[in-house]
Amino acid sequence: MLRKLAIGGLRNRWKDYLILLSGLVVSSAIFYLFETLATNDRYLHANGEAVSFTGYIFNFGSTLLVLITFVYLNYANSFLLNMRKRDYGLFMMLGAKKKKIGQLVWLETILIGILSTTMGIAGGVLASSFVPQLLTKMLGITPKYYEPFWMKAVLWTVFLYLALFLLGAFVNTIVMVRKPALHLLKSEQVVSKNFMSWYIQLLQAFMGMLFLIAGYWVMSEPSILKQKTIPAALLSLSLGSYFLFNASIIVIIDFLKKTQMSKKELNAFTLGQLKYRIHDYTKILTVVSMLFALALGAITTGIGFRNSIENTARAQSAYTLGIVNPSKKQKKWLSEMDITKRSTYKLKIDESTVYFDKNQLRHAPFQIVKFGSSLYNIKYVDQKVAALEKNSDEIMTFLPTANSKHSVKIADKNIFAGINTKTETLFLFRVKNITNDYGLLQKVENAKNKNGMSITGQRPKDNLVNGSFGSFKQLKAIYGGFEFMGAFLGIAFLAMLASCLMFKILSGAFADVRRYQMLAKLGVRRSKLKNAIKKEIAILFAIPGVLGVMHVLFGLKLFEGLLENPYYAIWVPFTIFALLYFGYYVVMVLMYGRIVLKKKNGQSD
Amino acid sequence: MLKTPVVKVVNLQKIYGKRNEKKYMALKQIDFEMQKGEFVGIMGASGSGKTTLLNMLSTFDKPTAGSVKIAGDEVSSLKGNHLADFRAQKIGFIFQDFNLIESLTAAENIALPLSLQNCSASEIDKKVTKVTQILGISALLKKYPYELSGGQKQRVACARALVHNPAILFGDEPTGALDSKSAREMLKLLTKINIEHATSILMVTHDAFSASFCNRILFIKDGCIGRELIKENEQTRSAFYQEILDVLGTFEQ
Repeated sequence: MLRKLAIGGLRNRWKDYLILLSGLVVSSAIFYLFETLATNDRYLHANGEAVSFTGYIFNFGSTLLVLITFVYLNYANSFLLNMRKRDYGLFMMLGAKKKKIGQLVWLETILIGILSTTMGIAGGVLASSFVPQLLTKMLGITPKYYEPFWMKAVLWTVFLYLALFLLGAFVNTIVMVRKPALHLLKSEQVVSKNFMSWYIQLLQAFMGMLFLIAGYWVMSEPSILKQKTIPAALLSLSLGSYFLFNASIIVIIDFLKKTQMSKKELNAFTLGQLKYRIHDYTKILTVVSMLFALALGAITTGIGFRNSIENTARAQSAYTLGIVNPSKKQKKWLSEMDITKRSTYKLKIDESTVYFDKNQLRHAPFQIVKFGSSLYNIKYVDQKVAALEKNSDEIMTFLPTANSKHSVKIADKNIFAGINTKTETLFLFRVKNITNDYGLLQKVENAKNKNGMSITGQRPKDNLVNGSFGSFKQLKAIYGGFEFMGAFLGIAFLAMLASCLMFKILSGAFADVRRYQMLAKLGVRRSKLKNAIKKEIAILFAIPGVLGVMHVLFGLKLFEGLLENPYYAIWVPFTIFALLYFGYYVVMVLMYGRIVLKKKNGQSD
Repeated sequence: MLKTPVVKVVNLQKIYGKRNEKKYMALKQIDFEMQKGEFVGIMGASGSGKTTLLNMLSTFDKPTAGSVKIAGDEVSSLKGNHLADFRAQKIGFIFQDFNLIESLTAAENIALPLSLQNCSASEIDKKVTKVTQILGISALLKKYPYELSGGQKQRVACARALVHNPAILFGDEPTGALDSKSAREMLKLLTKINIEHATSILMVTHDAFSASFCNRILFIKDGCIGRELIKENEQTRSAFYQEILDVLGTFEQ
């Protein structure tokens, strides 16, 4: 009978269970996804050999993810517990034995664990076969040795989640069995108000600031703690965020409540909601701000590597490629590129010398790279004919290898005309962005010119590179893996963040249904209710966002050793991230609104 | 001179149940009028339709047929923003379970209807002070609902229902969740605002003692008004109470 009741309860609350399950599935899927990278030694070795601590980064990331998962499951578990408290209290009222209740709670928790972990792994395999394709399409990089179905990752996911669910099941059983039935029945009506005294608040605010400053300082001086910098920074930043949230937000809300503004429309209500929530939310907001920082940091570094490849390559040569006697096909592809500089030189080649036309070189001088203070501060400058005569190595790299032993002579117009060999043309060009025109450049390089020779074919393997495109490809092979990892981790952390925040906010939504119904009965327009929801959720999204951005701005300093300038073009990843984050916000508002502003049958509002 | 009645109900009917479902007729045929300043009670057994009727009157639900006019406005056809605004301006409501918002202090709860109408802050303060003085809850303004007793909560709810000077105050078993002492105080308070401030009150109750504070009582049975009882001017409350008990004794058979 009791089992029937339990299953009946499950059926009635299937929507709540759906939220619980989807949250857990997302979480375990992400964990699986992460482990497919972290436990795949061959992949890590192939893609990260340029930098020795890749393995370290991933081990550390795994540990971090385990901790986050622990916090996350803790929330999920309390969500489950809150959802079922009343039902189990009712069963006890009806005379169910405590032992029986304990069994049911245990069984339910474990069942949910098994179900969600299985679904999560299935989802993870699906996602991990899709992610590399997406990245290849978007970033033009193909991860080597990446396996979507990776047994080690499956085992780790199963192991961790089952362990955590077992723990959760024990905790739930103890909580349910220990508490008196009446307490369980009435638990939904209990409102906790837990405001601190001012001096504890002050102390917390002070500690919070102290920890944040310490964290930022540690990151700005990575030479002091070396390998322990990241864990130390994460720890002190987490503590700092927690204390700061705990201490300051209530003070700010109280201040806002005293202003005139709080008496307009539903502002007082929104502030009241936040004040009651924030205490309960500090932990999740801390976790979210850390996740936010990690996700944004990962994406920013990933894009940083991408920029770094581009910029380093562009500093290797003033021209992207040089083609002798380009064919029609090559010209057609060239016309599709975004070319910022082009020069065509006539040349004549005999057994020992390559002749250029002096007049032509005066008119359209050959350019070389002039270095400024950094890779991001280079200039392409014209090379004087005299200088070119002295040092012709640069221009020679664009000529076929067969001519590499030749000397260069820059001849006056009349002399050039008098040389009795075939006139050839050398076409040199520079594209605006190599990454954007990568596909076309690759085609041009592989195709044959008028002489039936391809650029790749005309030189011995791995010898001198032709223009910045060659450097670009070499760099891509070394750093592309990092770009992939950055984007991958960024997506993983972002998804985790979203489901964390979503979970917490939605679990509060059920308690809010009554409040919003009440407001509707008081005559609040639907549009105003919607605005109140938007505002409340916007604030809950903005708080960790702001702190997360701060963390990233300081944290990027850590990558100064790896990237020439980690802050270069930082608005690009920030904009991408802001758009994604905003997307989550919109979805969140819609979901919350659907729960809270449900239309009732036959009711008009 | 003919005054507009505060409430005018004609041919009201409510049927529950969608198509293909079993129909249930909660209200068959209700007609009545209520004048300004009246204190009307609606009584009936569980399932008689009294809460359904109140939901129609207070615009929380729509009738299947018939018309409901509050202060001259036809409310059964109101929709969306008009409906919300109508509730915010014309109606006050007190619930059995208070329905205060736990996250707001008493003062903020009371001020809510005024904030919604975009009153200025000074005006809000003035009106809140006035209504709380009348209801004797000035000392409770800074407290949160969980710090208040049931009787105090209901007074705060009452203040919230009255602060915007509604055309009518509806009550759904307003003393249902209170102990006898608090209930008596609450009812005295309602009587006071009814007499001194000419506030029209309509409340649903199943309790004869509560009903005895009203001037007029409508008895509902099986979706129709079965009896009506009017308190005579010279009649004492206890005599009226006896009369109600007598009616209930015969009416419910």
